[in-house]
Amino acid sequence: MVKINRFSFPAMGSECSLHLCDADPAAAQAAEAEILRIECRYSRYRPDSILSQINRVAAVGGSLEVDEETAALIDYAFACYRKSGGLFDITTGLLRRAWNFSSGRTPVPEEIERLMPLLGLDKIRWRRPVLSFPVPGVELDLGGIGKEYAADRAAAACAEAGVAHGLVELGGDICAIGPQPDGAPWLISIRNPQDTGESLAVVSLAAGGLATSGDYERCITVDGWRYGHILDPRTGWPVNGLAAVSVMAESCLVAGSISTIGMLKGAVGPEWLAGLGVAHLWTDGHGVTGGSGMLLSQEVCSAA
Amino acid sequence: MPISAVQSIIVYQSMHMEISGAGAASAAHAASGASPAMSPTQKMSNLFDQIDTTGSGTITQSQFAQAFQQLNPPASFQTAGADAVWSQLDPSGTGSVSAPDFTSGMTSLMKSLRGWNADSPAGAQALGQSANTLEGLGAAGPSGSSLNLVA
Repeated sequence: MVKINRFSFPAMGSECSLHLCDADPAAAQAAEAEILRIECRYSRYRPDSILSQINRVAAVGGSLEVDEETAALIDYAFACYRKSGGLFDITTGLLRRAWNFSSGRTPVPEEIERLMPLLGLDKIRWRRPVLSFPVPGVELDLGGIGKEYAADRAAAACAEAGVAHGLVELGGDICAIGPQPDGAPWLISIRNPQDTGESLAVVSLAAGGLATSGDYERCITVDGWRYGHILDPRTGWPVNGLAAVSVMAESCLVAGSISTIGMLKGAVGPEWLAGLGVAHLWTDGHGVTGGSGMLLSQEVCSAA
Repeated sequence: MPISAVQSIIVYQSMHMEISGAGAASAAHAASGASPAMSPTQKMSNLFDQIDTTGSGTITQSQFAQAFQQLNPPASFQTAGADAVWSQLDPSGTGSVSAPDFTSGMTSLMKSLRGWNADSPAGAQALGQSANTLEGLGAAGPSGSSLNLVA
């Protein structure tokens, strides 16, 4: 019988659970400390975070030098920007000033139009390690990659502490430290975006990461129309087309980025995802489901 | 069997037990300068006694927050903030922390907290690998990988 210790704690505005096989609590402590370290450095809510320091410079225009880890995160954000054709953009967090998903209303168009000139990674100059903001008022938000990065690093911390079998689960994103002790993969259920109490499919994960992006957790419904929280930087309005995308990749970070880009691609998301060669599952707004390889088999239907 | 997540549910056939959270750290430096010869455990124990002004054997979050402000913790702890540190000392949210839990939690995490704001070269390296992976996806066309669905 496998003995699994579960350690749970709040982190990054989410619940984090570590599922570790026969692990010393010190491993969980190391993982939690690593997540907290990343949160302290990159939270937009902490005035003393590195991200806040960057945004204070960005607000007025200017340049600053960043450390190696921050530089690597910015490199990664630019990789997402390129991969998505400009759709995955860490400057779109500024749109939160217009969109309040707990308000029950959509913004007036003028609110969005006022912010649009400040959106776009092309307004930032990045010459490692110097980050420059020629246009005052731009703002960076690493929320789209920070949580997934933290999940990967927490898994690495557990592995360094001697854990060979387990999972890190942070706000719905999952990173496998290793398979179950007998070598079997973990079985993970993908939630149905049409009915979040139901399972859409069950997938197996022995290594790497699994992430899901969807518009059902945070959205506004106005006049019967659902506005999800994933915003198109070209328009400032929520993307349409897909309700959820799940992706498996060699890291949780890559899985999360691909799933978000898939959502941002909207109606052409399925075609774009199919061209990548990654395991994925998508559901559109009408409940139609598709994905790679076995995902199109009858097992999806039977699991849904 | 299932373990719930926001968007996913982990399912495995095994026993599991729940152990709440990892320990953390706090205003340890407030005591560290007082007696360099003391062991870390003794320093934490003394710090607890400073915070537990009523001698009840436990401290509350408000007592901790007050001490956090008054004892001028080092920058790394201030960066974390009193609430974040407390949430690690009291991960299950009982509202109080006993002297043994405070001492052991603080002591065991002191090392990691010293590096609280430290840059992570390993993290930077992993990010570089992820960026390469991301940019390489699709370059050779679909590979036919699958999610290994389980019926």
